[in-house]
Amino acid sequence: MSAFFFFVQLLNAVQFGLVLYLVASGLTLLLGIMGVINLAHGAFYMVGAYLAFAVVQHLASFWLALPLAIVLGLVLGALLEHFLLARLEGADHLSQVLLSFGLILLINEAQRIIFGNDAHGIEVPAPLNFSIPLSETFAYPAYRLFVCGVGIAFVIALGLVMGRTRIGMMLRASAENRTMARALGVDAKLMYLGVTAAGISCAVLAGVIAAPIASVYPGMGDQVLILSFVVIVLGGIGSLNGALVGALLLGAVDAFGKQFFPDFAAFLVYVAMIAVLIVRPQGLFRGTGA
Amino acid sequence: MSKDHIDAGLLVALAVLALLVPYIWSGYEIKLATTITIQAGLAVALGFVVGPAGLISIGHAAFFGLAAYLFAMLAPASEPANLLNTLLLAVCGTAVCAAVVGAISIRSRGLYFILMTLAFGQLGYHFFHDTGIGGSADGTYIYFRPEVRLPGLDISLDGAAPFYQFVSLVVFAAVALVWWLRRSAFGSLLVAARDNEMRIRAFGYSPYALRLVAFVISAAIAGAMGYLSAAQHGFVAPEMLAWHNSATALVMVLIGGKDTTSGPAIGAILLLLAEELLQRATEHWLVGIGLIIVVIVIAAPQGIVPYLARFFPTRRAQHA
Repeated sequence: MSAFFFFVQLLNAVQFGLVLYLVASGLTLLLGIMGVINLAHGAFYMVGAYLAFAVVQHLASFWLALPLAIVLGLVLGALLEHFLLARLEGADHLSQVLLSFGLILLINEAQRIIFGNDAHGIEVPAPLNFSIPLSETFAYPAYRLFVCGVGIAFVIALGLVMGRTRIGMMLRASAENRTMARALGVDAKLMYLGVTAAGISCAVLAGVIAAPIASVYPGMGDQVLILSFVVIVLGGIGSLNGALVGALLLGAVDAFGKQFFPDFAAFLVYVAMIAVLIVRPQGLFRGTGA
Repeated sequence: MSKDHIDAGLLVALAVLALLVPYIWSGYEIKLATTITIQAGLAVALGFVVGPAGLISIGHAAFFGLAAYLFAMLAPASEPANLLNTLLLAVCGTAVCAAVVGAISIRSRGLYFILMTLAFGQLGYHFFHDTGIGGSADGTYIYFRPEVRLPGLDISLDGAAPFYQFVSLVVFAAVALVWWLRRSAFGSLLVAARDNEMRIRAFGYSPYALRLVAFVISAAIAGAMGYLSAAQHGFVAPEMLAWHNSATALVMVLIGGKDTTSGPAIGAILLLLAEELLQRATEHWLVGIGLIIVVIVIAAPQGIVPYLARFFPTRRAQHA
């Protein structure tokens, strides 16, 4: 195994891990701050991928899909919170599981009605459709580096918002103790609306960014949903740092697993999660428990 | 009438309905009734862990599918399998697996437990999908329906009606077991451990052990249902273990109501009948199912049976 091979797999691991983090961070914020378990998060990721497909088809520019994804995600998230999640406040996880499962069926079927059952590929958009040569035999696609860049920017931005701003402080306080934060004047309704909108927006954006790498197909959200859950459970529910570590770990298991045990890569992810939970039943980092 | 009376009444009504099915319908309807009865058994088994034990499992389809695969591996290639032997082995194998899965998962509580069961379920799915055991993604055929062989008596289950009658017999035995368990001291302890874990500990019981036993019993029943399903279709595939089926079973439990025995069964019947009718009406029937789920979660979060029970005032309520 050459150093280049190892390096390329490492880049793949980081890139996949960062896309997962983009999805999982929204999921873990919803869990940590609102105590809401959203199975439909993967479906919103799929919405993003199909948005990218539609934009490329009709507007002939991939880059337009990025701002559209953010806006669409914010709108969908706000609608979800205002009309559905807000009514379930105080209900148990079972109701949330079922509500979001119902949403998955609705979103998946809406996708089939609009786009049909075919899988689609999206061309890597110019000007990033070239590869950077690493050696005579290895080259790395520039678009994947761009995905890494977006992911790293997102990690830093989210870290700054959570750690350095007043909003971040209120979010952390709510994750720590919802009732007390409310008593101290945090507007819970507005915060829930913001968190859901932002969380869904991240998932849709992740779908757009991942679309040129993965193909666009019905039900593509499921895989990502379950991996994102593995990520947040590995990291500790509600912990953003934990989710980042979990996502990168899973990226590594996936990238190297595919190379060394191609038949068992999907398998290894769950084995890794179960192994971690046997040793640390509350995840690697201390989360809020939810 | 109390909730218990309504529950028992509904169970009797369902039993009578199940007895009448082969005399009213034939052919396709009986096959549909067989599928619904099996799913109702799965939902009742899941309801037992979700309700009294308070364990929300999104991995029960894995036990359903596992037993089906065990049966496919046990069944001889050129003659019908002996039903009682293979059923017992498949259910025991599933129970052993469930004991391991439960022992690990039940240490985690709340969300962690939900996600643990989801992960174990997916592990099972990928095990049969990726490793080549049991025919990989293509699944395996079972060419002969098993037959009941007792000393001096062979009962063939070929034909829709005899098989349906056998299925209802097994499912009703399972439902009766769950009904009895829910009303037993064990059931009360489970509920108590769910509602106040500390107090049950103080009484000297282990909530962990109680939940584990409930989990294994429930998984074993789910396994028996998976066996019946494999025997019905003569085919097993990894999709039987997929988390969509676990979630669908959970939907049945919630639609009917997790706090009664009959609730999940009624949830299964209503959901599958709705599916059948919608499928006849439109290709995009899943939209209808999705809407039904969302409306029920918002309108009747405790499920239909408790929702109906509100219309039958209890004696205490009349005095007040």
